[in-house]
Amino acid sequence: MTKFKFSTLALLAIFALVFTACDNDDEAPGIQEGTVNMMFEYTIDGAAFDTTQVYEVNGTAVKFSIANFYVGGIELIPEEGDAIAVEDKYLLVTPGTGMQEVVTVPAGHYHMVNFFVGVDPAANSQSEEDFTSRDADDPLAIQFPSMHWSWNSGYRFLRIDGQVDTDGDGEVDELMAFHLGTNPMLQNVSVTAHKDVEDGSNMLHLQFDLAKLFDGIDLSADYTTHTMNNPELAAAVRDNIPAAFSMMH
Amino acid sequence: MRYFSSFLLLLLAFTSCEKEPASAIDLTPYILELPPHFPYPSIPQDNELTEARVALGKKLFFEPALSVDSSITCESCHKQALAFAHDLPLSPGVKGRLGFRNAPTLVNVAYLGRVNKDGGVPKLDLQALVPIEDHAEMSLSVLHAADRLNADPEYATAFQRAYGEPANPFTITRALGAFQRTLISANSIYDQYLQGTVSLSPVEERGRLLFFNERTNCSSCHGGFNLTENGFLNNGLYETYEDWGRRRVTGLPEDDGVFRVPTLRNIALTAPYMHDGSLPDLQAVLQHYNDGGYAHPNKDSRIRPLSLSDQELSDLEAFLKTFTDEAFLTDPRFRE
Repeated sequence: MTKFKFSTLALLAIFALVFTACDNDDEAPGIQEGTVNMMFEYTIDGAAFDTTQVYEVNGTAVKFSIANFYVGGIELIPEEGDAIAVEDKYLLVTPGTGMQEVVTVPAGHYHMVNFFVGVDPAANSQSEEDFTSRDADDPLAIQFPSMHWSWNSGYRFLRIDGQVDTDGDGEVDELMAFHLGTNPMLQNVSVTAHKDVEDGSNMLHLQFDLAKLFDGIDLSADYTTHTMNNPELAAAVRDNIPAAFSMMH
Repeated sequence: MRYFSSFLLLLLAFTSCEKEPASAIDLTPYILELPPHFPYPSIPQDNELTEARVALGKKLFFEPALSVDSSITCESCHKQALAFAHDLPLSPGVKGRLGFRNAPTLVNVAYLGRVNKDGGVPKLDLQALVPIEDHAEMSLSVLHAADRLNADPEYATAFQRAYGEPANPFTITRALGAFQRTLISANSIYDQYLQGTVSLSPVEERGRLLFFNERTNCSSCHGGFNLTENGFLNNGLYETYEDWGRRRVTGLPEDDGVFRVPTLRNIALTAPYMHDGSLPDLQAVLQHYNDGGYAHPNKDSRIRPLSLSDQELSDLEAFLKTFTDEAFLTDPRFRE
């Protein structure tokens, strides 16, 4: 019985090999493809990000503990031809995630990369597939630290936690929380890439500067929003999101 | 993806006859017992009611390990003797922390669409995340709750039997949803009256006529088999709402002070009343509606002075008490 199964499997494997090998014959010779990865380099006003360090942002001492966000809707814009949209791909970006694979595209020059920070309204609705029904390795599955709200079922698109100095004594002793979510907080970002994608592995290395997120915000006074309890402050951060991203190389 | 996994599990269950694994999934269905005037609730395909799921959900309902310091359970705030509600305006969570809303009854939650007082949760099977993770309730990441449960061999087996998976956010929330769907209260005096097995007393009958009368409009919001139309309305409890209600979810000014219209089943047992537990007894509630509530731009037009006499208020109260389902309160299926 066992022998029979093994031989059947072996036969199937050989057939599979034969038929999949045929695919290669259909490929036009000379077309090269490259894998595109994305990596986000966290900085604070240009300085390296470190959760143990106290920074000064707009004159207020700040220490960061969590700085996570979702990236979706990724599009690569080639020099010629249509934009390449990466469907159903989300990245959960944290200071420690490093390089994440995004898509394989034809080699060539790509001058723009577009994406949004957040989760699209359908996935955010939790009405069909929800954050508990996704596989554990899906970035949209439940995370710790949590990137979802339970009371208003949906995702935190951007979560920045830390401590701030609210009275100017140099001690960062008040909890800071910027939790952006709900559909109006979805923010499109467009970055000039000028990236030559070559055969093999390629990296879009972007800078994410947290100080720019808080441009025009006095963190000693406005340091907490869970979106719905302070939608104005959440919107101010949302509007700053595009400027926080830039291409490194 | 989840359905596909379930299909594979089923396939596995049927093809693995030769050597049955010790923890095979048990798909013995759980049958809800319902009287003829109750429809069968909609059950999600990914959480069909089974004996194993309901039993697991019941075990979790009484499980202190779901709270960060193992100090409270679901049952701490949802007592069977109180129709799975609580007798405090605000129930303490871990470390005595108080939230800002009154613990609701869980009876007949199988019939809810959107869940919670503000409808912020789109389905019952996601609701358990709220009390487990809320800082003022059990304050535990559901991922950590899963780790705790998976470390217990008894739970590990129970989850495999129920879902063919270990404890995880999906199976924890679904099991609790499955158990709560069985909390059917359908055998009150009023239900027996509807089925023709008992008569209402004269005072109860007078109350019934008032309840289903345009003079009061009670039944236009609290009608149907479950004594609620499942609407979200502003009932004029305040001029200014500290708790925004549904506006907290939608952000819309027209949802300010708008809350779920709850079922009136077992209403005599679920004091104190209103979203914040601010009205201590049924008399206070009836007086609120008789007065017509406070002015608020979102107040429903049916909330207006009713000019009911004291006798009429007493009659209504007597009728509301016929919604108590004594057998449900001691049903051994829901006991620990």
